[in-house]
Amino acid sequence: MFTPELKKGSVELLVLALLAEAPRHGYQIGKLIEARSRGLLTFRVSSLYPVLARMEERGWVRGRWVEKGEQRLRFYHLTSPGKAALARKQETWRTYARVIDELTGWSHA
Amino acid sequence: MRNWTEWVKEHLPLHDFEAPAARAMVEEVASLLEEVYRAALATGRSPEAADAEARAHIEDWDALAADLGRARRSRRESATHRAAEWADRQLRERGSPATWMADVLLDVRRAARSLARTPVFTTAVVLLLGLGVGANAAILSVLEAVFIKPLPYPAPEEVVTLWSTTVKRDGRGPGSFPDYLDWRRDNRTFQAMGAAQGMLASITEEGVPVQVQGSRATASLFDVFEVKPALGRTIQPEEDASGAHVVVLSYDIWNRLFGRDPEVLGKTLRLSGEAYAVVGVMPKDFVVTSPWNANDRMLFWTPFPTDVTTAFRDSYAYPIYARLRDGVSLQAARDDMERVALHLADAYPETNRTIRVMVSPLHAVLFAGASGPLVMVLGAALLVLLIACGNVAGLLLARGAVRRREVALRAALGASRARIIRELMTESGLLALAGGGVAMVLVTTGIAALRGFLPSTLPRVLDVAVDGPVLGSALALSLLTSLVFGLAPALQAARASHVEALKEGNEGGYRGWRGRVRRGFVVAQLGLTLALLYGTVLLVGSYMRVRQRDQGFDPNNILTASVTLAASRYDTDEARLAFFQEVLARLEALPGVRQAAAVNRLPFEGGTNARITVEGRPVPTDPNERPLVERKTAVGDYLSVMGIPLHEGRSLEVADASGIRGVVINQRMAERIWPGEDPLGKHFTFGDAEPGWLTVVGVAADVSQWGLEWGTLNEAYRAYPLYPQRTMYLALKTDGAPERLVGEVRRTLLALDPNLPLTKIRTGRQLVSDHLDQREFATALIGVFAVLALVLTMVGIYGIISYFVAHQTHELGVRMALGAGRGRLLRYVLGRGLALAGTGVAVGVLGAYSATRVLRSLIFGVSSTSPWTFAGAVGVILTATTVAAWAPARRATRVDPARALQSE
Repeated sequence: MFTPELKKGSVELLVLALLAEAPRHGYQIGKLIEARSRGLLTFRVSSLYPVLARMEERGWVRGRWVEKGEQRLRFYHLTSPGKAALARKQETWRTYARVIDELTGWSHA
Repeated sequence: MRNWTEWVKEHLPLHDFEAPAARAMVEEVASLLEEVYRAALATGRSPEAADAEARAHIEDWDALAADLGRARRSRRESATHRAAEWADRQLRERGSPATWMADVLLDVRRAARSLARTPVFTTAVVLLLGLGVGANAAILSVLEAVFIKPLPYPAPEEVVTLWSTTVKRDGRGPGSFPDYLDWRRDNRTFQAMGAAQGMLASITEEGVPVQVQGSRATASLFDVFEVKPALGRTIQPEEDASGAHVVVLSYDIWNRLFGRDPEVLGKTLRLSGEAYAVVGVMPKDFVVTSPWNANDRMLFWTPFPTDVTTAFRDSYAYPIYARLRDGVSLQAARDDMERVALHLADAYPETNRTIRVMVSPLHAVLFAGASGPLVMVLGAALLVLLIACGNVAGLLLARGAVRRREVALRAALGASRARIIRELMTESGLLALAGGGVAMVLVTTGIAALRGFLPSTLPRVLDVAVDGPVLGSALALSLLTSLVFGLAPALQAARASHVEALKEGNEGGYRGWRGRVRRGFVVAQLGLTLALLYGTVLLVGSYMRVRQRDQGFDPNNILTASVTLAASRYDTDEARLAFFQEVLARLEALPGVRQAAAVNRLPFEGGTNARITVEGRPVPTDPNERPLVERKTAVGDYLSVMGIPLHEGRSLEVADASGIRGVVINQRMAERIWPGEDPLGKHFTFGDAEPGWLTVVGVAADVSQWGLEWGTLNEAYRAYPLYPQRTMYLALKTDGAPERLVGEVRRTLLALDPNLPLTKIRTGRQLVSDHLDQREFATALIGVFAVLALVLTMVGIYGIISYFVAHQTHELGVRMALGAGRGRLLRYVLGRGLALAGTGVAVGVLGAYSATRVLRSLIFGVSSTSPWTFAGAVGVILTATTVAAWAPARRATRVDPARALQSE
């Protein structure tokens, strides 16, 4: 039911929101999205990683390798452009949701 | 557990896993997969199941690679990119010279490919560089040959000339022989001093008499030049003033007459019929010229005749050359000669009371005078180079803007800043080499063309050739230009944050710092062009004024030629007069010849003058205060032949040689010497050397004797016997084209005297044009450069306004959508161009002012600060700007508002 475009836009928003809480590594991010979307968005490395790479390229997030036991994990944190991007996206999303609500006649108490 | 990194590498279709960006991607994808695998194991799956789960995370490797490529704004990596990555690795490993060479070759190949992808840009830059540098190199090679090249003697800076001058230093002349002997004996600052005197002689070359220029010389003259003969010896001190019939040959005449015969010593050379024994030959590069004309090369040297020892102390006829002692400054020599001159003034007050000595470096004497016009032309060529550089820099900046994204991408993929700068500079270097190549072709062909166009009066004009240093400097100039103007864009491109650059669109042609710099260049170009145009207008105006000046004679249908009678064959004045009368009679008998006459000096040929004493006037005690009068002598009715109007009285007659000794003076002399009086019947004399009063019988119009820019001088025409000369000019008035008669005239003379050469054959019009050729040359060349500058500037304006229109499409669309008509848009865009032009004009005012100062010596008869001239130049600039901005402005009006608004 979700178009790829909508998914892409929302995944970015979700990643930003998750990183706003705390720095996380890629697998954590994927798993959290899966959990919080109640399974509507499934985690795939092939779809998540390009999003992270794109966001890093834009300067919204920054990744850093951390040694953890015998493993190396890449942790991402939100940069200030990323915080600004998050705020913008949240605002757009809210406006969008409100407009859709109004147009479709659903009312809120 | 599977090695995930290797597995990703196996499957992910990236070209180069060693590139930092690619390596980072592989590592992170592998790390994510490993995490999925571990998490699966942790939930109790079997290793096989966990492995399968992780592998299922990537369904389509190509799609992933494409996504990652998009994420990195990557495009499919080309062969050249991979090559650059490879070179990067080599650089990181600090390889051997071989890898360094490989790097350089790689850079060059990459740069060449990159330039080949933008043929318009590349061609434009190469042509602009070639044009600017080529023009300069061509003019430089002329300057080098003519002025800069040192004289062909050891320590040439020590060689000076000594001149007689007055206390007031108002002019200079050659020395007198008695003065020379005293100067030589009394000075303390010269190691050698020698005297010379031009000597025209006729020789027979392949059966045809030819006139050649040689020189009487003292033995010490060769000490001055410090050049040893190639064969035999030079003139010996005991031969000084001996009249010995020995001759030292120049290499040129040795080659021409003796075929470089090594056994030439002791053989005979006949000079004007007299036999001279060859005693020496000078080397090939030994050149001595007349101090008045650096093209007048001496072809032989013989000792002075005995009568030179009895020459008058005030007979100034001997160019004096000297060599400074080691370490003696020019000023010290001048002080020394002032002392000597004061001593002579005491010893010989009659002649030397007001005579002083002028010491001038020979190089300056020969070349300084003529350098003015050429330096101006070089200045104009430099301005053209600057303007071309402005265009090149503008193009490089615009290219830098376009390539920012490409450069940023390369930086993102791991290329170091140094590496990127090196690559961009390699491109600049290639452009420079190509530009230098074009310049060399232009110089070689340009010099060939220029040689035909160079004024024959330019010193050493025959030496003008393409030489190594000039070509080398052309290449260096091109490299310098291109590297300097390529460095700034390269630095900027490498410094820019690639994130910014990747996000940003193709902005940066008009706005931003690049736009400002480019507009700055265009303003500077406009300013320089205005200065050049203004200078050109002044020069053309001056040229037209000079042409319009009344030269005092009618140059149409005139043929002139010079003859010098050999003293041995025509040993009396009577014999000479009889010869000229016979020649004129025979020439007048030729069909097509209306009238013939002979004169000692043609117009523009300068003259010899002397001071006169006027009857009934007190004689000033200082001889230098007596009026100076040009001495002319004529056989036949010279005034009538040359169409010089007679204002009063009559022309000269044969009877004027005796009796009342009639003389025709010019208008200026009549007005100066006898203002408000009737000059006819008045008497004056040239003094002791020529006793007896002369009677004014006619007043003729003024003729330009020294040049059209000069004022006229007092002149007096006398019958030949009163002032006989061996060298005379024949002047013929012809019925048709005078050139057609040259053969007939030559045959007529040969019939009379088979040893008499005819030289300096020119028509009346050539007399005028020879005189103007240096001015014409400078005016024409500066004019060509001004037009070139204008075209280049228009290209610059076109470029910047095109960028403006291309990058303002959105704004133009908005304006149009808001109701701006096409006319209004046109005005808006043209206004941008004219605003630049306005600033350029403001800058150019200063430049134009300096131009007038530089051109001062060539400006004649026009005001250098005329507002009309200036307005004309500004008008040309504004028109050119409008024309250049018109095409882009028209493009702006064709913008489709709907699409323009989408385009943002």
